[in-house]
Amino acid sequence: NMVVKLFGQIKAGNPQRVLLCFLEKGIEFEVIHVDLNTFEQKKPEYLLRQPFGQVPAIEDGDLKLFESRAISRYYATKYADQGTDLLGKTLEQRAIVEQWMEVEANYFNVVVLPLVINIVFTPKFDVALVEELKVKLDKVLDVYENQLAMNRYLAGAEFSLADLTHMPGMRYIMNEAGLGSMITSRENVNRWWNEMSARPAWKKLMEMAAY
Amino acid sequence: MVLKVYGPHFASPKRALVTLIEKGVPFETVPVDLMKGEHKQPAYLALQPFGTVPAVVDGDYKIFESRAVMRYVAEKYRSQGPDLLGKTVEDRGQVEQWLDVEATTFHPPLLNLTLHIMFASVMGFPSDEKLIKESEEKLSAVLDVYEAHLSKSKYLAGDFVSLADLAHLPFTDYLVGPIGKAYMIKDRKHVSAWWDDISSRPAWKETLEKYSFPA
Repeated sequence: NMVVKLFGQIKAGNPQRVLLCFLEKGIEFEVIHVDLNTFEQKKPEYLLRQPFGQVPAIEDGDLKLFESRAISRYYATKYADQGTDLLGKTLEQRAIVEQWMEVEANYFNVVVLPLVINIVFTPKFDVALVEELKVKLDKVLDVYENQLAMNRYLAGAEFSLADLTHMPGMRYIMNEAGLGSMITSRENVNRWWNEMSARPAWKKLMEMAAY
Repeated sequence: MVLKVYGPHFASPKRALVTLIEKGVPFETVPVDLMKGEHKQPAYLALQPFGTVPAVVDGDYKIFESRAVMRYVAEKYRSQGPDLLGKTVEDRGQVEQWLDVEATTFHPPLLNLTLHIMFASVMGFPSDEKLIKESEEKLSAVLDVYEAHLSKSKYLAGDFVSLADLAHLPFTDYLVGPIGKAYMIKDRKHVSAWWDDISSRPAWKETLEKYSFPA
């Protein structure tokens, strides 16, 4: 069976980055469900695949990889000529895609992840912490609002991996976390989200996730 | 026009500096006075809209985020110096994997230790003992994974030194030095050997010699 296997859960944010990449590139895949509710990802057999006990991990013949952004970069590079161009055409364009992928990991996700964990998954969450995180997210989104006033997408005129990696977190912001007004109150960030979430690959992922 | 790196005396910019030195790329540095709030001034924000270091200007081209700069330099100067991205697409996949592990898993608890042990008094906030303890425990668990991995692999991505190893240098240098937790590295046989190897590379020694924070 030569199809890449993705270990994870379709409703989980990190695996969704990889699924989106596969869908945008037209790469066939198989999802092997890892039950996060029973902490399957912390069990010895899974730790052999991903030693930090997190999803996703992939297995593609002899190749094994983890870290959703690294997996996405690998497939976007390997299948550069197939499906959506996610990395830009030149070295300089790719480096700007990399820059905004770093921003997603180091500025956006570092606040969105604890926000989602608290608001969505923690029964009695720390109200002061959530307020602090919202202030931080506001500052980050102000930078995005400015960047997206001058560029259709984060790295330039075209949709790229830098936009894609934001989508699972943005979905939580707009839905379960109840923070949609932070997006809709910003004209350019709102436009960006509306365009990205209208993409066929995203719609297909939403169908698969069946929220 | 020579490539310029802004903020060389701080830790994150050193990821970019060590990569440039490894690849033998000429560059200049421009100091940024964080204590005077230079990073929040419009002139700097035009280069890095989040107001953090480094920012890099290469002729007409601007790029920020230290790991993105590393990738840019390693790709642009692929044919000179060590190949820090590996030889094949699959090698590169492993490099990207461990570079992402550094960013998402290794760095956050180490950053907490850096801020609360080294910089709390300087930056004027109370040092959080509970956070320090939790961060050390988290980092310890991560280093246990590294110990197991490095017992089977000479460097993080395989048998070649890569961006993934170099990305660990600046903040681990703080950990074994001013943070005062060298035992976290030294008590782990394979992590210790790996650290001795990468931190004794001439490019890293030159980075520290030229760009350590002035006393």
